Amino acid sequence: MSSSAWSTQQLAEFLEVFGAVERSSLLRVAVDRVAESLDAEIAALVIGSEVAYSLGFPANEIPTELILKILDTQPATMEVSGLGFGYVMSTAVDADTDCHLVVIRSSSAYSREEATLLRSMGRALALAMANSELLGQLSERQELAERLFRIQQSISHRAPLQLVLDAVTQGAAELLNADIVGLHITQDQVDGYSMTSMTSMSGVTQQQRMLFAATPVRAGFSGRAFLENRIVVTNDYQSEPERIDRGGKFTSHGAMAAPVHRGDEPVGVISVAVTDTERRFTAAEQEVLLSFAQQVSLAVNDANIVHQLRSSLDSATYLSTHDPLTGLANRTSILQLLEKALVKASPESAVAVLFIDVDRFKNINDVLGHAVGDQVLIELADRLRSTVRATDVAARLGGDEFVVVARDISIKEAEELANRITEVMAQPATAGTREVSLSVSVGVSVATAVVSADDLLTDADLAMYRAKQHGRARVVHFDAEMRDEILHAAELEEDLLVALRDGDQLQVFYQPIMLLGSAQVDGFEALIRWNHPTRGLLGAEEFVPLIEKIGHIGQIDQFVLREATLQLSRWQALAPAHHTLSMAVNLSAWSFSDPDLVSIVEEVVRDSAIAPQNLHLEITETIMMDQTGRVALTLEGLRNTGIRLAVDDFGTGYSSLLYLKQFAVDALKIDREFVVGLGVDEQATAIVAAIVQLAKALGLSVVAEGIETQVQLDCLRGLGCAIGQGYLFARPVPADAAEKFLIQSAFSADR
Amino acid sequence: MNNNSVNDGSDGSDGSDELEQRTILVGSSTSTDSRLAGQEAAAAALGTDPLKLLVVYASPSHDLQQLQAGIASVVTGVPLIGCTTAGEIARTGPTESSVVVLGLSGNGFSIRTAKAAIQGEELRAAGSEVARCVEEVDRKAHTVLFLLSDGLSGDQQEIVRGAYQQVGVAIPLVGGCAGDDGHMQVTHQFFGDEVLTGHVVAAAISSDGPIGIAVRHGWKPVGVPMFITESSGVVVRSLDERPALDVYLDRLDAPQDARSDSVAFSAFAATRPIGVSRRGKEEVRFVARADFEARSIHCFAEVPQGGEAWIMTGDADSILSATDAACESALSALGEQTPKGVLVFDCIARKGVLGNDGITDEINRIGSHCGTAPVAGFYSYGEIARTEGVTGFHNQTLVVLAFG
Repeated sequence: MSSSAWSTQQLAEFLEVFGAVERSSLLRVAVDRVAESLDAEIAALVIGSEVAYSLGFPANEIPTELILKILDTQPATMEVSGLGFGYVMSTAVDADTDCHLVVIRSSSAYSREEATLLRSMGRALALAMANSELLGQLSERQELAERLFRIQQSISHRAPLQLVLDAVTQGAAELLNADIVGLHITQDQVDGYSMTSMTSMSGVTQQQRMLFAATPVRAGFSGRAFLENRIVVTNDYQSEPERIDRGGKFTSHGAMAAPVHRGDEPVGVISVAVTDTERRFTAAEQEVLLSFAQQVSLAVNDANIVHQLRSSLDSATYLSTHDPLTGLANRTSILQLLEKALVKASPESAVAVLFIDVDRFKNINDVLGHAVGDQVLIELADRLRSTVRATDVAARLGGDEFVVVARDISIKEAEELANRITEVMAQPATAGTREVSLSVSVGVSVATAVVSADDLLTDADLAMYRAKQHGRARVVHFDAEMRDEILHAAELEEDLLVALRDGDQLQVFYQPIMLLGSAQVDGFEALIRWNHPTRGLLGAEEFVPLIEKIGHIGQIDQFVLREATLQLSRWQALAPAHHTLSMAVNLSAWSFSDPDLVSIVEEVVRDSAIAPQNLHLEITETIMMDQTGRVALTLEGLRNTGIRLAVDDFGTGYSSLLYLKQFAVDALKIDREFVVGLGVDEQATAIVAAIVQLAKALGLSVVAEGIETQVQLDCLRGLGCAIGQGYLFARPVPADAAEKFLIQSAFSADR
Repeated sequence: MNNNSVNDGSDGSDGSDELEQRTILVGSSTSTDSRLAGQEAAAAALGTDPLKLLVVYASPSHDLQQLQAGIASVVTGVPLIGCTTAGEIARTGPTESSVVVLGLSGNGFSIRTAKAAIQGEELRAAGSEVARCVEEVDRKAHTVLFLLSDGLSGDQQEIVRGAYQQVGVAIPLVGGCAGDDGHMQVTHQFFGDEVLTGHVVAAAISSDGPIGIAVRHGWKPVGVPMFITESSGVVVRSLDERPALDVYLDRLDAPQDARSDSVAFSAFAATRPIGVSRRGKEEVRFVARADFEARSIHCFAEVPQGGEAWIMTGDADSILSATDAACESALSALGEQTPKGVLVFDCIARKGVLGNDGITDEINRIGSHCGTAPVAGFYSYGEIARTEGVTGFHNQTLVVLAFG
């Protein structure tokens, strides 16, 4: 058993004893246990200027003056009558009551763990004393002891640190009846070894969790506990100058935070918040929080020791610090290095993080296989190594993510480095006999002052994400607004889950598709809209990617399919002239690879009693390019149901005639990107003309999207495009408005 | 508290010729006549110097009143403490149903004795109470508090804590718990001419000569540790959140009879202690009995909840190595002095592992370490030795107390 596991065990025993002991014997039991845990022959509890209880001196000759002098002068060693040479240690139990513990032993000096243990025991004693005064009830004390004991067990059992931390936050939330408990441990920047920054929260949404994880440990009200290295308490969080508005519906009123230590250094904070405006944290509750903080300190110390043990062998060290595939540094070691570098960060000596992600790497893996993918990664790693400066360090975080940490670098130099990397990485790679084209997106964040390694890495990650959003193969520098956007996305995600559950916020809108020659309605395109309670009406592009991410897209696709076909059926029934009306529905890539799609489509067609050819499913080129064969299989099944397929956004992607033929599509839709240029941009006009010609040659219908002006309409008519949609005719509108439009346009067309 | 002492000590001697002033003699008798046994053993423990203390270890098979009467017929008015045992030890070897009497004589010793009843949960108070005899003893160069307790009356660590709190770090504590030949029913203590039960008796022994004390066990932890998930005092209710008895039996793959029969269990458990962790070293806990209803196990010393525990194993070799180590350590504390007498407190469980041949071998080994010095001891239900550190109650150990 390691010495720190021993410490945690001792503390657990100590807490257990306190759980059951009566107040009258509390002090005596405490001193006994402290002495036995540290194997100290002499132990004393001093309250004010009185020795409340002592062990090791003859009962009739307790040297009060000597003990007080020890507290006063804090000697490390001393000669004690009867004992001889002794090692001395003391700790404050409770500053308010001027209560101290003193221990002296002959065997050896105290280790750091033992110093921590004494402090922890002092803390537990203060807790027990406060509890017996303030809580009074044995059952509550037992519950606390029990809880702390469980946590200690997971520490001793070497449960992953994250689980221990989660047990702490959950335990604190329950015992303190707190709405939110947060625990944030940052890297140690003191003596070389570091742990990855970790967080644990109880009572919060995913959104708040993310924001919390992104908040520096020194920031905010709880940051004060870290900076001042003491417990901080407020009954009015909203008036605190350092408060952080976390967004969402949660409003903290009472809050307290206590520092977590490694050795003597604060390395994190545990904080609690409550919404109850009447809530006041009692002294006993503060003690409880301090106890939990102490538990975390023990867990952190223990994890540190375990790590050091694991690193004791050279090969083990290499494996634990390097990525086995590429031989670059791994996440752990680059974070470690980054932390060290950040200690010295200043405007004169900035530290840059370049977050590099290979564009569309998934395609390489999917299309060419993982073996090729791995070869490409190895080659990219070699390129990265040879491109960075000698003092820079490159690492692979996992998957296709790479990081470069550059020290002593200016913002301009960092940008040059990033550009150089994008250039070098964009060279085609050879994998076996294949040549693979590549590009990378790079996010750059630069620290000119001491910040946490995790924060800087997260910033670079956000910037990289932005680079992807802006079309890939580029470099983007981090700016603070990006964080707000992440917050926005997180909030949206939470709201979306509510919307999916409640249902009535999601609506299908319909945009008429017109016969361009006669201005008659040919059909409608069904489009999902989200009527967000505070943000108003949101278009599909604003939330569908999010739905895809959180895995509910199939549900949405089915909802739209069902609503739209039923609606079409109703409209067709309004008048015989409407029997040929069609309905276009967009489905996600996920649905097209869902083997059940064919039967779902058959079912909605049957249920709505529409003719299958009046249902047009829109598919993107990207989906058709799928290599797995699943989409091809689905498309074939769909063809057999008699429904029609339209290629959305034709011309923007691969525009492969082979696919058009293979999948026997019925229609092409001309992307608005080209329609916008009609009559203005010769090239755009030429492309539209070519698509229309192509469609005619292949016997496909062609639909123009995004018609906004009369000029565009005239142009399309001139090019022979018969069908189109756009704001010129109508925006997507709810079903009742669409129906009005249908009736009116029929009426005007009739005339 | 009753103190019983003789006016010993300060006779103006300058201590320059210590050999004449401190004598230790041991007598033993295997007579089945209790009165005769007492007479024989006590007579052999008397020397020519003024007798300061008699220590009596007796088999519970004796009529203890008759035994006391036999001793009293040889010597009266001398402080006496003693107890029943689970086997007596003298240089002649280990015996059962015998009596061993040790006499400390000479003005180089100063003695005060005390007794205290162990009432209910007040073990600690009893420990403190008997320890007060240290305050009364005429202090010479070296002082030890010698304790004999009723090990069947609760957590003996509490007695040691109480004694330690009273006397402090300067006075070593040593002794053992009375036995009853392994029946675990009732033990007796002797104080003066009284035969008591449920008591702790003590002698503060102060000597001009050095005193050496050592404690060793010969057990090693095996297997992965278990968590003591529920215990109070000496009762262990659950290990790793399972009933403690089941875990104990399963881990040791106990035979059927030990799983249902309390006598068979005690015999089985006697050589299979559990270890608990204390500041980097394992302490051994003797498993005394099983509660088949509650599925708990009862140990002879506190097993702290929340700690870790191991199954311990030992064999003849490891136990005899511990014997050697304890003797060497205690005797080396005497420095240049040859031992005048040696007291041993040997756990009954060690006897269980060693067997009859083994314990004969052990006593011979002890004898060979001690040269010509007399040896007296007994097989105990728990041993006491606090010389450094703060814990002083042990299980499954050999404690050696040597007077120089």
